[in-house]
Parts: sequence; C-alpha cells; structure tokens
Amino acid sequence: MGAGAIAVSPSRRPPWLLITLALLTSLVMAVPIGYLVYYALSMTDDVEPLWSGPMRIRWWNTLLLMAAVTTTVAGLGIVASWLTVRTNLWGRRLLAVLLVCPLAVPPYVTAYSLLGLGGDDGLLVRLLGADSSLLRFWFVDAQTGRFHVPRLGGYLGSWLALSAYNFPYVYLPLRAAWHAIDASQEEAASSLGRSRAAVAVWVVGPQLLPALLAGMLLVALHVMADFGVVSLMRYETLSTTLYARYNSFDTGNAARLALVMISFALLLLMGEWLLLKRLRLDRAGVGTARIARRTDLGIWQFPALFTCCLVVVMGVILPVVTTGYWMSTLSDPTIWTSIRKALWGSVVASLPAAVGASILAIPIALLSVRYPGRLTAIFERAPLVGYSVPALALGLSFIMLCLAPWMPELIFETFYQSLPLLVLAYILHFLAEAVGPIRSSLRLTSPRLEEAAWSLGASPWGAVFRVTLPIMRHGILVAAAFVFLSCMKELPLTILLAPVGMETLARNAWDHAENAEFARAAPYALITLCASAGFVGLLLFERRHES
Amino acid sequence: MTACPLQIRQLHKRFVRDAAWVVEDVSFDLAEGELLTLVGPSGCGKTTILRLIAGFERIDAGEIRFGEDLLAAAPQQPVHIPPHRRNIGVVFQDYALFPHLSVLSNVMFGMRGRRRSRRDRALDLLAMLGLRDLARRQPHTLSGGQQQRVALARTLAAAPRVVLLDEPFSNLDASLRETARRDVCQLLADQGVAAILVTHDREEALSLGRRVAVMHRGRLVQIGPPEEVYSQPVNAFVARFLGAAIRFQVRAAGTIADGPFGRLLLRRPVQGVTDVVLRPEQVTFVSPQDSDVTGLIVRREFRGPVQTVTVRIGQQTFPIVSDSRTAPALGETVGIQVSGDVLPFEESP
Repeated sequence: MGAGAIAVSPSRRPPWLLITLALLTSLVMAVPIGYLVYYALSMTDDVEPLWSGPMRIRWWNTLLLMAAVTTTVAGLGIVASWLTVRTNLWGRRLLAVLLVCPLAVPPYVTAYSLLGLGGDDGLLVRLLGADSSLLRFWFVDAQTGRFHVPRLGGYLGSWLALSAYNFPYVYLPLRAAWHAIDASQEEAASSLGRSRAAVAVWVVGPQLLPALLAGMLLVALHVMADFGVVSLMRYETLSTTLYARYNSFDTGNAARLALVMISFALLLLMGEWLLLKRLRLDRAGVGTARIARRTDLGIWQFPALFTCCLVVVMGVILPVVTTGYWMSTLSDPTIWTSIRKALWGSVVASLPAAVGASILAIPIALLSVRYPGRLTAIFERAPLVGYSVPALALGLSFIMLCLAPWMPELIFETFYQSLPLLVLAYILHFLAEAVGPIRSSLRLTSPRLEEAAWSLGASPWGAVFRVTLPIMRHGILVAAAFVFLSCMKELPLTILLAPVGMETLARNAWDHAENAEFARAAPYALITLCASAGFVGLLLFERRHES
Repeated sequence: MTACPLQIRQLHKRFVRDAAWVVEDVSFDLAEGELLTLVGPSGCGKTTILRLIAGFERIDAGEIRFGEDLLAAAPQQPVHIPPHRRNIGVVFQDYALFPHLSVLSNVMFGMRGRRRSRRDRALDLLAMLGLRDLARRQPHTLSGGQQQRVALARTLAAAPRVVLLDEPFSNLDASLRETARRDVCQLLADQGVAAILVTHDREEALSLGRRVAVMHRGRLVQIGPPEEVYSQPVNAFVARFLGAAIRFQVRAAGTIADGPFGRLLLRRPVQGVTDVVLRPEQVTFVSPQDSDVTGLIVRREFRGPVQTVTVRIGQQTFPIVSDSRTAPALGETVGIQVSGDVLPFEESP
C-alpha cells in the first residue's frame, strides 16, 4: 500500500477543536463581507450609476491601468526570466536577486519617489541645478520659453510605479517555470525535426503559460485593489472613487463600489485557482530536470543588460535614492517625536496582528495538510479570499458592520475606530501569508511523526505539544514575521480603520506625500521600505532554505 | 505453539463505505518472541493490517486481543483502545524520527521514569546498537542505516509488547540491507520481543520470518513456516509470488498426470484436466536419450551464476533456470527430467 494513500485515509475525522477554530475564522471573514453585499444590494436611495456618466471614465481608467501594467510586466518578465535562466548574461546571478528586490519597495513609496523626482522643486532640478543645460534642453517650452519640469503623475506615473512593483510577481513564477522545464524535452523536439522557433512555441510556451497567466492574474488583482499609488498620482480609479465616497459619508455608494471590486477580485481569484489546478498537473512527474545549454547573447549583452537594469533602477534604486535624498534635506528636529510616535503606532498594530494571524493559521494549516477534504478545502481558501478582497473594500466592510443599525451599542463602542478592529482587519487580510509557511513546515515532515509519538505512548494532545508544534515552530515564526512586516507597510486598511489621532508609518508617509511634503514623508517611507526589505529578505532566505 | 499473546480474529477494514474490503477476514496469532513476516504485492492490505493493530485505524469488524486485553473489537460492542495506550511499537518505513530532537531525545521519548534513569537506559540501548557516538546528533545528519537503527532503538526503548515493522529495509541501499536485516533480527531475538514485519520482498519474507503470512487482495492466503509456504503453496498465486514457477495444464488420473513434461506425480489426487505448478529448480536437463521428454532450446539469457533458458516442448515454451556452467546451448535438443511431485490447482486464481 502506498504511503500517500494512507496519509489521507478518510476514516480519520479531524479533531473538533481544529474545525471549530477554522470555522470561526472563516465566519469572521465571511460576516462583514456578507453584510456589505447585503447592504449594497438592498440600498435604494441616492443610487449612483455604476457604469454610466463619470463612472465610465473611472472604469476605463482602472481597466486601462490593469491592462497596461499586466502586459508590461508580462513582457518584461518573460524576457528577464529567459535572460537570467537560459543565457550567458553578465552578472545573471546578481541580477536574479536584484530583479526580485522591487518587491521590497511598497508601491506607494515608488510613487512618492517618482513624484519627488520631477517638478520645479524636484530632485532632478535640485541635483542638476535649474540652469542645467540637460534639463533646459528637454523642459523649456519652445513657444513661451518658460522653464518647467513636469511632475510624473496620472496614468503615466501610476503605470510606472505599479509596473516596477509588480514585476517580481510575474518574474518569480516564470523563473521557476523555466527551471522546471526539462531541457531534454527541447532536445527531443529538436531531434524530431522542429525548428528553434517551433520548439519555443510548441514545447516551451505551453509550459510557461500557466506560470505566466497565474502571475498576470495576481498583478491584475494588485492593480485593481491599489489605492496608495493611484491616490498619490491623482489618477481616478474605482478605488479612489470608493475612498472619496466614503470620505463624503456616502457609505451606500461606497459599499456598492466595494461590492463591484470584491466581485472583480473573486473573479480573478477563481481564474487563479483554475490555473493553479492545471499548474499542479503540469508539474507532476517532472524528475530532476536537466539544465539547458545557455544561449550566447553575443552583441545582445548590452540591450539585455539595459532592460534588466531598467527594472532594477525603476523598482529599487530610484525609490531608495530619492527617499534617501529627501531624508538628507530634512532639518526639522521636531519630526523625531512624530517618527517615534508613528513607529510605535505601527508596531502596536502590527505585532498583535502577527501573533493573532500565526495562531489562527495553525488550525487551518493542520487541517489542510493532515486532513484534506471538501470541508477543509473551504477553510484553506478562506484566507485567500481575505487576501484578495481589495483592502479598501475589506476595511469598509468592517466599518459598515460596526455601523449596522442592529449592532449592539457595546460592540459599536468597543470596536468602532478602535485598535482591535484594525488588528482584526490586518489578521484577516494577511492570514494567507501566515498559512503558507506554517503549511510548508508541516508538509516537510511526515504525517507518521504523530503516529510514531502515539505508538510510543504519547497522548494525542501530548503528541501535539511534544512533536507537532515544535516541528512547526520555525514555520510559525516565519509566518509571524511575514505578517508583521506586511502590516507595517499596509496603507489602505490603516487609512480607513486606524483610530483617530493614531499615527502610523504608512499613513504618515502617504499623508505627507499627498501634500507634496516630500522631505517630511521621507523618514516614514524609509522605515516602511526597511520593513518591506526585511520581508523580501526573509522570503528569499526561506526559498533557499526550502530548496 | 506455547502462548499466543497477540490474537487477530476475522479482521475487516475498508476505507470507503460499500467498497471492496481492503482487509478481509484476516485471522492469525503471534507467539511470544516470534518474528512473523507479512508479505504480499503492493496494495494487498498488509500495511493496513499493521495500522489496525497499532490502532492508527479503526477496524470495521473483527477483534484484536493481546493476552487478556481486548485492544479492538467491532461491530458489536465496539472497542478501540487508542494507539498510545496499546504499548505496541511501530518502526515506520520512513523511520519518522522527530526532526526537532537529538538522537538521544528521540530514544528517550517513549520511556517512562526519572529523567536520569531514562537517559542512562537510552544510552545503554544506543551503545548496544553501536550508536553511542551519535547520541547528540540531529536525525537529519545521520545516514539511512543509522536512522533506521535509531528508529528501532526508539521503539524498543518504550518496552513494547509487540513491534510492528513496516517495510523497514526498503529505504536502504542494497549493500546495507543485508547487514541491517541481520542486525534487526538479532536485536529482536535478543530482546525476546514478538514482531510482525511487513515487506513486499519475498526473499526478505522467506529468510527472516519464523513464519510467513502471504496476503493477496486483502485476504490472508497462507501462513506457515517459510519452507512449507514455499514448497507447498496452497494456490498458484502463492506459488508464483514466492518464487519462479512454471504453470501448465495436465490431464490427471488420481496422483498420476500427463502433460508437456511427461508423466508427473501429483501431491494430491485429482481427476481430469487441471493446472499444476512446478518450481524451475525441479527441472534438470539430461541427454535426449535418457528421457522420454525432449525440448529445443530457443533462447538463453545470461544472469551471472544462472541462466534463464527457454525451452520449447511441443507447441509450448517454458523459461527454466539453469546453472550457467552446465546450461545447454542455443538450438540444442535436450532431455528433460522432473524431480519431486507437483502441486495441482482446482481453481484458477
């Protein structure tokens, strides 16, 4: 009897405690969203048209940005992954790491740095001088003779910032897909008389496609849900409209917009699941792949290097340099009190969220690995729903629930505009990040371990505390770190749910950047950037650790 | 047999309601200090039996008893003693060493008593297995053979009433397997603990077990000493599973039968057309004049000390193992002699 067949024997019922905990988590996830849907569908007064009038432009803006960013990162991702895996590109090992680094820069920091670059008082003018011939050559209006350096903004700025940030989400799965392709397949195709182009289209292409599409869907989801970048860039999309409606106390129309965004997100998520199902099939049976011979780039080294460096410059170097520069111009000593306060605010909200998310992730991970089944599949997907529901919509759903007319006074008083509610929203939004590492730490170990403990006389609970939890310890710590760092840089949820007067890093960075106070925004941006970099460092370390 | 500590009666198990039984009507006893090997092709339910005895799975029907203790019973008045109260040791195929504990802590896991005394006993046991120097190491730094010995030490340290070993040697290199088999059997014999060893390797089953139990499609087909099971298989499946076997039809009249190999002696009387099974080593080649039956050598496969020679008798061909030094040449006509009696089958498996 194969080992796998027994590991999932359906005769073992999952413990009720795990089920209860996971069920509770799913319910807490479902109730606010469910109420939001109900509220949005049942409202009848002052209904703003969703498709016509000014909304049409916002739809157009959102879809245009999604399409532009997705195709940009897809094109760049294919080229860059091929260059770093299958060619003799100079410095490909270093580039392979650098190309992941844009993940470490929160997109609103990239947007902030792009905004701080241009403008008559921007970084370019300050560094090169207002009389620089280079600037004058480009930016003097030929008719009026007036010197004006425009600020990157709107569609162009949003496109650049979001493309730079989202690039690794396509690059990473593509690189993995390239590595997974057994070179002997290509050799087999060539030996069967297919040309190089035919091999690329018929052998390589289909194997890259699932990874590419999965990455593109994730990027589309990010772009649709983004608030930080488009709000700073003053580019009107669905999410900025939602925020504007909420700010003008038009919660009804905000809720309807949130419903549209949630449906959109779930549609994308469903596409992702369908793809991942295929992806798993594709990977089945791949043994140790043979490394392909690297293509000699020859004279193409230079354009290739330029392309890769462009991504790194836009995604990493520019934000770091700009933020660093604005930081150095900061001379107001009183800001340090504010920084301390914001840092404290961020930590106070992020730490409990990290602890809570890791604890709630344990039953979900245990159920999904040790007791796979229909019911546990639902529990497993609940965190993904929380993760993919746009943060603005999620935050709004919590606010709506607190404001519900039937909500007891006590709960409203305790939770509305309170730290616990912010922490809860963080937990539900980032639970998926916590489940991942805990699940993989469980997967690495044999389900026989608990059985071995039982057969040695340990009771079921004894086995959990003496064997299962110690084995998961590493995964739990990593999960907590992931969630902590994610919360530190999270913007939309913080803006919506942070208690009045509470300062956090992300919120302050965004506030100051909104008001074009680039120097004042710099320290907050820099600290969130560090938190984010820690996240990516951990991610890269964990990947290496696992392989 | 003296005492029968472990008694298995009419065990039934299936994983899907109304599906075929994975384990069907299995009954056997395990004597004190006995090593029983449970052998069968993969998917025959042998590992499931082990898991039922250990208590990892619930039985659907039957009874498991250890001496006076009822460990499991169903479906009337169901009893299921959980695994941690059965005191039955298990050595897993993948060893299942706790990765977060040192070798010493792994061995101490199932022991009872004061920490100091547990430690001393664990170290003694490790020393006995030649693992004393590895006590402080983490399991993943050990070789496969060492991990296996640690797993056995851990199981024995808990002083189990019975040890169940699930394919304990299948993850070892062929070169290590021989010594590992010897060491494990020696240790089990020294400790005087009864054990059931599950394997799909027929040589392992025949060479290690004091008794061999052959399983097929969830049923226990035959159980007995290895020599008996090999030489007197109850059906064609057992015959073919435990060793090379030549199967053919004969026309029988009592204990005498006529077929392609000439006149043969049957082990029990049968009438009419029947299938019989012959072990290749019962066949010897002689010169054509010395035998009534002759055959043509149509194929030879060299396999080191022996050769598989395919001989054609009439319209039928039979592969026969022959000593490499004396094997007949290709195209040669040989005389064929059969020594001993052959086993008839009434039913086709």
